[in-house]
Amino acid sequence: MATSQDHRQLGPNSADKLFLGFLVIVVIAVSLLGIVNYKEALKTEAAKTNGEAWVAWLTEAGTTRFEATTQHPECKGGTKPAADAKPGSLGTWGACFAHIMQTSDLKDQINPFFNIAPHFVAACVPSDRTLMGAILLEDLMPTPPGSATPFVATQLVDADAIDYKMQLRLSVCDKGGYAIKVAEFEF
Amino acid sequence: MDNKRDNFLKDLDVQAILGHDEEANIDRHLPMRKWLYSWLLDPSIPGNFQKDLDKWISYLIIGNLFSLMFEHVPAVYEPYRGWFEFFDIFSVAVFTIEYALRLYLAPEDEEFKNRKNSRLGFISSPFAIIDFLAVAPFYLKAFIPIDLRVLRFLRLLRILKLFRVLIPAIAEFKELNKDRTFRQKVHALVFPSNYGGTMQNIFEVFIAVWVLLSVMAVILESVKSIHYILHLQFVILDAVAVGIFTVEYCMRIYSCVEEPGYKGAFLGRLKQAKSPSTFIDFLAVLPFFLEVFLHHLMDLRFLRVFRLARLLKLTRGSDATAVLVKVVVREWPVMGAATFIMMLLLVLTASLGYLFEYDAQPEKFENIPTSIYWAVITLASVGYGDISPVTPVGRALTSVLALMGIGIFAIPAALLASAFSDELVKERDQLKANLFAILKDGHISEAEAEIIRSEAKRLHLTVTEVNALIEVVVKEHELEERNPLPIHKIAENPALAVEHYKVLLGQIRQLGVQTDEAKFEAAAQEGARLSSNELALWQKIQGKA
Repeated sequence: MATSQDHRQLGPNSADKLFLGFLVIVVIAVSLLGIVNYKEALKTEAAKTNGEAWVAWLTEAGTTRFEATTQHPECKGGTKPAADAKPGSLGTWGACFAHIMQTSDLKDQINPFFNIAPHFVAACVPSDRTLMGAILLEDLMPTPPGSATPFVATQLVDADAIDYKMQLRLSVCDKGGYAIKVAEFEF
Repeated sequence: MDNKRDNFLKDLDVQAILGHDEEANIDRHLPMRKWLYSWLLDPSIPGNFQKDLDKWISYLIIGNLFSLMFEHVPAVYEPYRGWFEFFDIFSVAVFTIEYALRLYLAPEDEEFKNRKNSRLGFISSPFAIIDFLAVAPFYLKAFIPIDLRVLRFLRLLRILKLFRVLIPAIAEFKELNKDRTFRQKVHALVFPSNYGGTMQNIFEVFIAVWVLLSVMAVILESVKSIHYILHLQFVILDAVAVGIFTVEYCMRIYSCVEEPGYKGAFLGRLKQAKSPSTFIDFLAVLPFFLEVFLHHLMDLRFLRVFRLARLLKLTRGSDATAVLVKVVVREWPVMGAATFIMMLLLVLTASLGYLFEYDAQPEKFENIPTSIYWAVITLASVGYGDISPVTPVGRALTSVLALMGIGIFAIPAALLASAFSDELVKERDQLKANLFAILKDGHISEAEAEIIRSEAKRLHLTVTEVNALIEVVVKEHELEERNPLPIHKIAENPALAVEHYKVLLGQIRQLGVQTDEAKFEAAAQEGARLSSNELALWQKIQGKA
C-alpha cells in the first residue's frame, strides 16, 4: 500500500524552482554590480597610473635638471625668473609644463572618468564631481623648525618659480572626489 | 540506585557532550603499516589523527589559495618573494609526504585492499589523481620550462584537494536528508539541526571565514598605503563577500519556515527577517547595494564602515550574545533608573563646577556643556586632565565627584553581573526541570538525550556538573516516590484526579476480594459503622448490587 511518504514530492517543487530562479537572478545581479564597481575601480587605477607617469617623469627630470646639459632646458633649475616674469617665462613651472605637454607622452594621457586629458586642480573636493581623475600637484614648502606642521602644501601654478630643489606631492582625485596620494618626490 | 544513575550516564554519553575525545584504542603490536594506517588514515577509528590530518591539510590548501591570490599583486609579492617561495616549497613537501603516505598505506585501505594491485588502484583513484596534480607542476618545472601563468593556474588545482573533505560530507548530508524536501535540505544546510551533519559545519566555517576576510579588508582599506596597492583586490573581495552573504540571506529567509516557531510562508519569513541575527545579515550587505545605486547622488563612503557589522554575524553561533541581550532587556528598568540618577548627578555637578570655576578659568569652564564633559571624565575615573578645577570649592567638588563616580558607575556593572549570574542559575534550573521530566520514566530516548546534550553544551557544563545535576534529579524522584502528592494537588489536575480515583476503586475492590464478605457486612452493620448508602456503594463497587 502506498504511504503518504511515497506521495510526498521530494524533488524541487514549483516554489523551490522559483526560489532557485530568484537565487540565480540575485547572483547575476550581484555579479553585475560587482563588475560595475570593478570598472569604476579600474578608472581610479587608470587615474593613479596617470599620476605615477607624471611622478616618474618629474623624478627623472629632477635628477638632471640642475646640470648644464639637461635634456629639458625649460625645466632647468638654478635659473631664477624675473620678479615680474609672466607664467610661461623660463624658470617657471608654466614653461616646464608647456615643454612636458609638447615633448613627452604625458600629453596623450586620458582621464578615464571623462575621456579627456586630465587637468590640474588646486584641491580635490568631494562635492565637485567634475574633479574625478584630476591631478593635484603641490609644492611642499618646509615650515620653520618648531612649527606645528612640517610643511605647507600649495598648488604648483604656472607662475611659480622652479629654480630650486623642490619637494613635490602628486595626488589624483578619485571617484568620490577624495585625493589619493600617489607620491612625494624631489624635483 | 547507582545502577539507575549509571544507566542514565551511559545514555547521556556525557563525555561526548563535553567534547572529550575518546582515545583511540589501537594495538601497539600491530604491523607497522597497519598501525600507521590506523593512527593516520582510518576514518572508522574514533580518536585517531585522521580528522586532524584532514583539517590541517585543508588549512594548508586554503593558505595556498591566499598565497596564489597575493602572488598576483606585485607590490605584495615582490618584497616577500622569498617567503612566498618558502611557503610553496613547504606546501609541496607536505602534500608530497601525504601522497607518499597514502600510497604506502593503500593496501590497508578498505577501498583498495581487495584490488589485485591496491597501490595501482590508489594511483588511478580520483582523489589520488587530484593529489598528484596538486604537486606535479612543481616537480615538472624542474625539467620543463613552464610559463609562470600556466604554473600558477596548475597550482589552483590544489583547491581540488578540498574535495577529500567535501565529498564525504556531501555524501553524509545526502544520506541524512534522503527522504526530505528541497526546502528542508536548504534548511539543514543553513540552520543547525540534526540533519546538517558535517556539511552544515563546513557551511558555517565558510561563512565565518568570509566574515573575517571582509572585516579584515575593511580594516586594511583604512590604511592608505595598503588601499593604494590592493584597491582592485578589495573591490573584488567585497563583491564576492556580498554575493555569498546575499545568497546565504536568501537561503535563510526561504528555509526558515522549517524552523519551529516560524511557520507561515509570509509571517514566518517576516518574523525571521525581523530577528536580530537575520537583520544583521541584512545590514551586512546593505552598504554595498546602497553605494552602488546611490553613489551618483551623494558620497556614501561613510557606509563602508558599516560593513564592520558583518562581524556581528559571528555571534549567531554564540548564545552568550543572546543571554547578554536578554539580561539587558530584563534589567532595563533598573538600569534606566541608575542611568537617570547618574544623569541627574552629572548635570548637577557640572552646573556646580561651572558656578565655582567659571570666574577662575572662563576659558575652560566656559559653559555648562563643557562642564558636563569635565564631569563625565571625572565620574568615569578617566581624568584626562585637560580641564581641572583650581578653586578650593571646585577641587572639593571634584573629590566628592570622583568618589561618587566609583559607586555610580559600579551600579549598572553590578546589576549586569548579578543578572548574568541569575540568568545562568535560571537556565540550569530549567535544565534540571527538563531532566526531572525526562528521567521520570526511567529511560532516556535518543531525542531526549539530544536535548540534554545540546543544553549541557550550551550551558558549558562539565561532566561533574551534569553528573551532580542528574544525582539531584534522581534523589528528588526518590523523594517523590516516597511521599505521594497531597490530595489538593491531585484535585488541581482532573486527569490526575481520575487516575487517583481509579487507584482508590482498585484498592476497594482488592479489599473486597481479600476480606470475608459476611464478617465485613456484619462489622459494618454493628453499631452502624457504615450508613446504608455507604454499604450500598460498597456492594455496588464489589459488583453485587
